[in-house]
Amino acid sequence: MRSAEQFDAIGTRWTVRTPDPLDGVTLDRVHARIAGYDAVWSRFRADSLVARMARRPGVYGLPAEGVALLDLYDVLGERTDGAVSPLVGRSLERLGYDAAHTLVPSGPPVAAPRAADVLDRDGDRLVVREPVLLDVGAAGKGQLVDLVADVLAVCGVDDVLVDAGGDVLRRGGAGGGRSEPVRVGLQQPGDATRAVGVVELDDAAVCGSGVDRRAWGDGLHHVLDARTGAPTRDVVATWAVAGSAMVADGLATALFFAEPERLEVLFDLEYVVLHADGSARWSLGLPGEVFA
Amino acid sequence: MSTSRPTALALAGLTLAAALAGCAADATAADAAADASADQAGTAADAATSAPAEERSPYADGTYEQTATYTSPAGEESIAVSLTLEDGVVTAVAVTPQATNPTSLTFQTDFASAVADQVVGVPVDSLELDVVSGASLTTGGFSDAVDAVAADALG
Repeated sequence: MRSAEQFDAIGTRWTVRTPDPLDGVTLDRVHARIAGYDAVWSRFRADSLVARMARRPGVYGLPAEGVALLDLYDVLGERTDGAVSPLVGRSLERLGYDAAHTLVPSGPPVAAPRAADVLDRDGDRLVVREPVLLDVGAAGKGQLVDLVADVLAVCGVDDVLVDAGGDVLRRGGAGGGRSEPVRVGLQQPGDATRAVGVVELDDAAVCGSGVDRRAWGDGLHHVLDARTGAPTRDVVATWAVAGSAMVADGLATALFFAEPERLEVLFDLEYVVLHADGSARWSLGLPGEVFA
Repeated sequence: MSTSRPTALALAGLTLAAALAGCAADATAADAAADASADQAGTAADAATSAPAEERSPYADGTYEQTATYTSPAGEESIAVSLTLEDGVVTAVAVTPQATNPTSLTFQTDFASAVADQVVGVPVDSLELDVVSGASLTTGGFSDAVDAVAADALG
């Protein structure tokens, strides 16, 4: 993994590591893929599909990846009794995490609407009966990491580490007979110089979700319980290891709300969950260790 | 990085209280099928008592193995846990599923987890890491906005 390409996109720092430098055409395709995703799912621009759905009812066609994304949200919503939902856009805005980044609450928390009340989905067709603001932050960044890795594979680069602000996917690892496993440190919340554990990634993804980076006030951060619209309190950081970054990202969010066993029934995952008091729980199959 | 923290293993509804005085768990994730051979074998302590850090551990070095049985809907099942102690520190944990019913076996392997009272942050420089994963690093708009809000608050 001698070569690294770094850039900012969708509000975070990306690093793509490959054995050899990426050529210009491949890099252009990566940026195009990210731009295309942003144009659909960004809550922070007025011309995105998400912004249009928040202004006007109607029938909207989702891009192909939207089906897998919303299918995952359906499962996570069921596993967390509704705590995880893509309909939390207005709840985030209410607390101040709006398109203008005012970061000041405009009122008390407001619960997200129930999907059944405002929209219907049939495959890739979304029938929006009442305007609704989606936020797919719980799993969208992970999906985009997978999609970037897909673009690289199509361009012939299949030994890769894609890191989008700490959501990390490794493809073509030791299992594929190439480079060694990648060591990923699990950052101690609030202290970027320390790690509370290490995960070794072979052909898998590890995604972290935590309350310290996107926090803007007393108790105000971006991991919301959709049922109340309020930020979570007890769990402060989670990591999930899964086969894809989309699933790892979604599960990392779900771990704030659901007991790990509820997720382990349906998903092949390993995890670490940290609580506000410094205690932790992790799966014994975790490929790595937790320092305790 | 040893600290005197009790460590408990939670296994699919079965709690094995193996907290040993003066130990810290170097919680290396053990493969469920890991070999549990050792020089000495004895029964693991099942009472969880914590002692002040200054006391010497009363437990001799070696590997302690315990097989626990429980009643599942499929009948009686067992699961084996081994802990290896060196100088009063738990250096290895191995869980060996022994369930015979396929569902029970799945539960024993899929749901095994560990808990700790207190994680300890280790300096990243000492860990030979390729990447650090934490809460999403923010750039641009969000960071600027936080700065602006802070400036407002001061003004």
